[in-house]
Amino acid sequence: MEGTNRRLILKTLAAIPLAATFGLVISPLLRYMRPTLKPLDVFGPSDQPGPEEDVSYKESDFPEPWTCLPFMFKQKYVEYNPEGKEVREIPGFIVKLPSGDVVAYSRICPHLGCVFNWVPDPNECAKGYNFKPQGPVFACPCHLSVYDIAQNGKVVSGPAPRPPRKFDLKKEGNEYKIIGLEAGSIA
Amino acid sequence: MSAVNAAVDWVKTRINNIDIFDEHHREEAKTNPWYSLGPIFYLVWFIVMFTGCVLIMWYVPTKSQAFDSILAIQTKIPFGGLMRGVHKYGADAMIIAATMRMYRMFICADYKPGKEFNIAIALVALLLSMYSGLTGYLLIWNQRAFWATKVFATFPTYMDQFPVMGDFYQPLVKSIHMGWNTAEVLLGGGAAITQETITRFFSIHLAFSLIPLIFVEIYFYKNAYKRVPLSWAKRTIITLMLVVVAIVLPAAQGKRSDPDVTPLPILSDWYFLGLYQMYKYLEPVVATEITIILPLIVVGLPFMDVWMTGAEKDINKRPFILWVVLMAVISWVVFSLLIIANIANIHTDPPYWRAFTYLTVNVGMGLQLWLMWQNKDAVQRAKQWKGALVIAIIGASQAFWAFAYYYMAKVEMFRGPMFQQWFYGVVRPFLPEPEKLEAAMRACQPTSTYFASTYKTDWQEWVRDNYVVKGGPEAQAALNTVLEHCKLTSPVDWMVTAIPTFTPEHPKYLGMVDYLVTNRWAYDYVVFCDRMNPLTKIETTTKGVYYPLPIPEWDLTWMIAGFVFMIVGFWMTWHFKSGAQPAPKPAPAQPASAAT
Repeated sequence: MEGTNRRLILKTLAAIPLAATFGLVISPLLRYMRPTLKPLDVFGPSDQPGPEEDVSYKESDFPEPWTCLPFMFKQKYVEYNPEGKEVREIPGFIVKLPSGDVVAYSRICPHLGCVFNWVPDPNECAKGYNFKPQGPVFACPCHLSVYDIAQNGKVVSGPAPRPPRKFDLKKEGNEYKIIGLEAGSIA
Repeated sequence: MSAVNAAVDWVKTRINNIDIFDEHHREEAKTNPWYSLGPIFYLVWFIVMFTGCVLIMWYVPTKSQAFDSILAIQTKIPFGGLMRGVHKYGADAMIIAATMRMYRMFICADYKPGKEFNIAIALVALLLSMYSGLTGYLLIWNQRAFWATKVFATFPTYMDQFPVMGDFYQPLVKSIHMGWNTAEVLLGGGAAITQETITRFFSIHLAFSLIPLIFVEIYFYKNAYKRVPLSWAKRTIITLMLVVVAIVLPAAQGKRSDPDVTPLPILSDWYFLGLYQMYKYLEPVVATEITIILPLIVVGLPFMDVWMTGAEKDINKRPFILWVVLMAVISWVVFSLLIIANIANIHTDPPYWRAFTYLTVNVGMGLQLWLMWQNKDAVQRAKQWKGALVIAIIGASQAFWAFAYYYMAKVEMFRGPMFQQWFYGVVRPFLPEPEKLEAAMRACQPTSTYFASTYKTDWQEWVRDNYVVKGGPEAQAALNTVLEHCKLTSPVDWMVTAIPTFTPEHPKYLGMVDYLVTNRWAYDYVVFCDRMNPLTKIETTTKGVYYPLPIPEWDLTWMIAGFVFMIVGFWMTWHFKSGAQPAPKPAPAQPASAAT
């Protein structure tokens, strides 16, 4: 019994540095799984996509409140390929609110990544999405999340955890420029 | 040291009892055809690998050509359609065989005695076939595959909301971005489904078959087991079944994938459909947790059963397992049918299936307790305290969720805010003038405008940017009151002052008040109190409906049942344990099966 105990302790003491060494050998393999990771930066932030090209609209494109225009925004994703990136088109909606503000949202549902729809008619929403809103909304057909645009994209129904991601808008004269997208969705 | 030796022995026995493809059940297989499922699984695995080796000669794993190469295999290559059909239906057959084998193991108690690990091995086989299926159908590069992969890659990102491990408590710990990193690893090192994703899935698709094959072959060789103990007639019948299905129902090709159009209804392969319906009903973090916890429960069930019924193998005497199995089968079938028919009312359905899930398991727990009560044998009766305790613990966790759910349903606040406001409520008596702080917070942001969203900034900044700028001088004065209040000290400051914030302009918390305000825990409490109070008349997202909301009647059934089982279970644990005293030496050498 005594001998087993001593041997176990010695074995453990010998094993710890060995395990640490082999553990360090394995760490580069993490970069095998995520090649865009920088060396020795396992806890670093993940690669977020960035804008590739701006989209612009004129004031006159929005003749009345609740004008909703679909657009495609070119977004650059970091990839481990010869170009080091892949450009993806992110579908979006740009809407003029009754208050006069113009807002732009990504159409990628923050729940599980489907592309959601513009539903201007509350009755249509009540029929298809289990919820009757006050006005026009965004509604996702996959898991029935409904977003109220008048309330900053608040989730009024369905499983989505947060409002849809917003595009950064810049107003130059009477031109609206879409210059970037809030990070965090899979395209 | 003897405890260590006992543990080592315990593990060694179970490793020696490993059974991968029912090779230890050849006697039972002569009378019971369900014991052929293991050999069938292995046989079909070989058929799938053979057809896969044929398909690999023509398949092109690139974004532009994948779909067309499948089309070419289907139409231009001789017997290509047949090969692809057998490959696809063979993969389905493997999943069917693995699933049915799993149920058989539970019903026939193949994990007894001392074979509990076999459930875990069967589950790994099932999961590997499912993931091979998932990686396989992206290779077709059609609409269904693309969108199923998108859902599959997005749900791990919710791990970033898990307590401690994720971004959820970002002010408290530096995040390791576990969810996002998992998604990137799955997709080939980026946040989009691209060429890298196809390459990675293609290699994983091969690796998931070939690497386990090596281990399985070593195992069979070392132990000299017969590989596929089926007669040639049976082998031919199974192969012909696959061939006939592949000819009658050629494998579908679908539409070329389009990242801009979501198909409706969004589906995946049939074995994930039940999970898809669950994702409609549940908060995504919870759905992700359940997806991870389900396999762990399956691995844990045999242990629970052994604690409850010892070496008993008769399914009639193991009602707990029987009813858990029934619950699993019915939920899975019903959920799958519902999503295929695209039926879901996410607001009114959940109480029904919650009640169904809990109550079915509760029926099993009740019958099990009743059987224990009927047992007249004094020695066995004394041993049953373990089983009663397991049931009591299940009842207690159900009761805990019932307690939490009661408040969550009333005020529509989720677990995080609920825990945070509860913590605030506990430390509130130690804080200086909490009423003044709460009144000032109400003045900064009216509680009717609260909505739970993940936020990455301090509450003070969030309120200043979103509400105080519109609120005018009174709101500004209220915010100043809150900021002044944050500087006050309290006897519980020691709990938080050591926590780093990782924000340079605010490196340390000034005290408990500062901590609670900055992380919004104090505001969660204010909102909770206002929503629980019917006099404040806070409107929900539906017009004309006010907090607190009523609890759905069907939920009350399982909530009450949880408390009942907790009390009865603990009482019976105590009863059996105290009843053990007068028994003359409960001989430990005699197993329970020998006594019957």
